[in-house]
Amino acid sequence: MILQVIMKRKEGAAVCNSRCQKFVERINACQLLDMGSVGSRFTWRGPIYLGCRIFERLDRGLCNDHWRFQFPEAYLRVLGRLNFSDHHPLLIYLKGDIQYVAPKQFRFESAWLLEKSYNDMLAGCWNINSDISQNLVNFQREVKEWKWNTLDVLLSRKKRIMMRIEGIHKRLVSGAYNHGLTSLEEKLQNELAKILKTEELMWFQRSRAKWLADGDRNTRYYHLKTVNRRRRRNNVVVLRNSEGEWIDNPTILQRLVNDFYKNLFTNNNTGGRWFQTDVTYPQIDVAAMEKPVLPIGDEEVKIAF
Amino acid sequence: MLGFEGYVATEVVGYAGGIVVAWKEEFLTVELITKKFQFIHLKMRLEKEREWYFTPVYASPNEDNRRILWEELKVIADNMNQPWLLAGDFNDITSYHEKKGGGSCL
Repeated sequence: MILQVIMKRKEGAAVCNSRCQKFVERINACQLLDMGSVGSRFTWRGPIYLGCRIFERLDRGLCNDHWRFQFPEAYLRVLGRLNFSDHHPLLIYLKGDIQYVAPKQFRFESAWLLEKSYNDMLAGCWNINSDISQNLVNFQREVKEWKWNTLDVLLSRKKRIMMRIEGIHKRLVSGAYNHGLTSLEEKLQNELAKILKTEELMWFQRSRAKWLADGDRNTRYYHLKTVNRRRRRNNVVVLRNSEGEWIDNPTILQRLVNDFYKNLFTNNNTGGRWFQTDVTYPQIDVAAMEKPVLPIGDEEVKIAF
Repeated sequence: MLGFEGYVATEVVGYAGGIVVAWKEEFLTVELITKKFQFIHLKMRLEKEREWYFTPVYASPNEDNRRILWEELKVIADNMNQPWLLAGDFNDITSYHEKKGGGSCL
């Protein structure tokens, strides 16, 4: 009995066919299409069975033809799995790839005032003996560095850890159980949990400050800018170059992106990072499929006339 | 909910098994059509675009429940002539390509 199971597993077909068939029929009966996905091929991590971790694609996006026509560029991305679930999150982009916009100008965000270290930074760079324009120049330089160290570095660390976790998932899926990778993932997941907690606190403080300022002072404009995180997300704030250094200077950033794409299109060994699953369409039933090749009967000719 | 003005959720039975939908009202208008045990059926409108329907799904691991889910979805499908998107955990796979490792159901 056990032998049979192992053999079936080696064939890679150890799946209940009738259950799959039923699922496909249900999708077809509703006239739905599978959107397909990019990213990890599987969306769920199961238990370890006979020394091998089970992975399945239990999560997906289905749509009808109207939806596909309305959002022709939409695609679904399977994100890296976080430790609080056995499922990967799915992210559906309605409008294709994110547009890269030019770097924004420097703007003050009132939420900075919530950070304790902001006052220390200001006191440190402001010299009462020199004139205001010199002080403003100093402040602009210092606040940039301060912002990077206190806020941005957190978000970029989060991004980097999530990318590493995705990389580990990819290798765990393609190979057998690997103790080293598994414990590395655990370490990264713990680190990520800490960052998420800090970020959550940061946003909680900001959302509380919103009513404070809106109620007492007329600074609603600044708060919309602060709370509306989309602005930051649409911006390439920082990239890491091939030497592993983080680049946030807009001019160097632009050159970096330029060089990256020049490189990308001159190198033949690129693809392979993303797995694109099949996009499916409702099946035509067997009777309808055979119809065109059936011999033409007298009855049919009569009806046609 | 943090950073989101709109919010709809199913009743949670046991520890797992809930659906939460949250959205930013400045981008999106969401109208609740029906709320069932395994899905929420919503009408969406993004800015000035044509309205469409969104159904987040959390299918049960139990086949009897999944049968009920798909019967209910079929009723929606038969009356649907607008764009419709479903997404989530359907707790099913369409072929052996969508699974790695594990045994068969004998």
